[in-house]
Amino acid sequence: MISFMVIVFFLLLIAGTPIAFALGITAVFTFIKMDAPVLMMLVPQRFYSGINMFALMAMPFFMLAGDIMNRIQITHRLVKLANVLVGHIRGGLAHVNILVSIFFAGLTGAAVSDTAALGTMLIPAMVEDGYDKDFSAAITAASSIIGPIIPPSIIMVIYGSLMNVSIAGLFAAGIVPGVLVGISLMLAAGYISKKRNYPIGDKKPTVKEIAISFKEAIIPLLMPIIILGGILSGIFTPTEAAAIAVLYALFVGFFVFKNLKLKDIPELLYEMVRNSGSVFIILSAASILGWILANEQIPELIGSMILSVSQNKIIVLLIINAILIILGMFMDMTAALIILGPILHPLAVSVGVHPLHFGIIMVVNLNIALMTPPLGACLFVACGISKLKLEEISKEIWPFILIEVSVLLLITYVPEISMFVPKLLGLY
Amino acid sequence: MVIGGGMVLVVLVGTLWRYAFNDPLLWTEEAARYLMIWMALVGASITLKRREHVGIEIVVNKFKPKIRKIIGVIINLFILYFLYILIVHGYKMAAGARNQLSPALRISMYWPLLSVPAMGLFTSIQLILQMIIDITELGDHK
Repeated sequence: MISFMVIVFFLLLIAGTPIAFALGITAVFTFIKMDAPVLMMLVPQRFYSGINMFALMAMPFFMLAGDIMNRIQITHRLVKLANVLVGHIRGGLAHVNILVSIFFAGLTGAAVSDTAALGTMLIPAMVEDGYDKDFSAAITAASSIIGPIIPPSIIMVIYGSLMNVSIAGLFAAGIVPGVLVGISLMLAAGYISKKRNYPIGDKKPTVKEIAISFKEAIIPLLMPIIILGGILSGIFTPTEAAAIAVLYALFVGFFVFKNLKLKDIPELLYEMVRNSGSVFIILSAASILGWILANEQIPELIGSMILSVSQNKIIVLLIINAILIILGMFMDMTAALIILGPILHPLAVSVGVHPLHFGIIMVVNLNIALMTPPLGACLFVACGISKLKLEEISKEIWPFILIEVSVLLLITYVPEISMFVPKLLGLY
Repeated sequence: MVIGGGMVLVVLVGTLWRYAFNDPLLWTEEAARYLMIWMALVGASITLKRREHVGIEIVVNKFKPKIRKIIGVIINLFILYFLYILIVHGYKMAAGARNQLSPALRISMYWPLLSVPAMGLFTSIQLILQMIIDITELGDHK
């Protein structure tokens, strides 16, 4: 049965079926093969219950808040601040790119929107400054995965709702790993810049300049503080925090920056419905397949298969990471999360990994897949902006992937990196 | 498709209401959830309209246009079959729950559950329209 499902699913994918439908059709075919027409009833039932979760509502709201923040050109202010802070180091703009990704991560929860927003602005600027175009595009794609690791994070909302893990806890656990990814990328970018003699930016900024750009960027920087502060202190649930984030972004756009018009709203809402719709339908369709997998006891099967190789925590985690990276390269992140989560999560917990820690491992791992050829979504966006071919960027992105995989391993084997903040806040 | 946008507003108001009055109005949570499901499923058919559902194209693009078209039609037929199941069994599910009341709102569960067959219907209409466009375009590609 499982081989039948795997074959049908991958054939459909290769033939270009949208992933949500590939999941649904595989489930329907499996029911036909099981010759149990009664089970067809489960298709709409699971389709409905797969998204019948209040916590999931945070996802469209965070998307909307990020879109509004983008629309009111908050990126410019963040870039300015980052430029003042790190622009004078060698490879200045590369560092700016990464640092803005870290700032931006507190506003948006999706990597692709990060690539798009920063890429349109920073790739041309970097090329003008004398950086190679492929390097500029690669660093933009590589740094954008910080977005979903530092909260708020759409993928963490999905993970938390599905696996019944505290979303607030996941958010807290993501902060340090996200910054760590940023710092290691900066070290790598600095090394490459030195070797290739990329330009040094302007002279060192004065304290006054720093203060001015801080003041200009304070409004966007307040948003993550409100969201995180609210969630972590227990004032809001993640869903409420996401709604507050939307309100805050609207308020800033209408009354502070005054560059948001009432007529922009329908378009922003439409974007949100569209973007969240494509994630919701994957969630729905995958939950049908999830039922079959659970019913056939596939999680237990795969679990005992891996445990028969080794019961050692270190080796089991290594195997899990390898599975995630390989499948992540070919599958949409949400789909991989929904299908693999219920299989791998209990396995990891059974060898003594804390659920929050494992959530972070999965999120970081699947995010790295967003920038790996041949199917990384962030790479495609970076290609679109820079008009480069996938092969050209791929050449430049490998060092960064290598760095991120090493950070992943560090996060995997040093649980304190993820668990420190949740422990501090008493969230577990 | 403006409905989608409208629903979002209601969801937002619902959540805010709950926060502002610090009063756990159970019905807003439920209403928001049902609206979200409707929004999500309508959103999915919009995505199809703009042909933006994520799919892998690198392999298919290696084939000749004609073969690519044929594969496309086969895939679309599979999708239609899946949607057909959603419509037929989804409607059965909704109709079967007609007398069942939702816990907080006390409305018939028929309404939230109706979103599934509705999604199937909207999406199949979109898909059939697209197939007609694709097939009539077949001659244009040499």
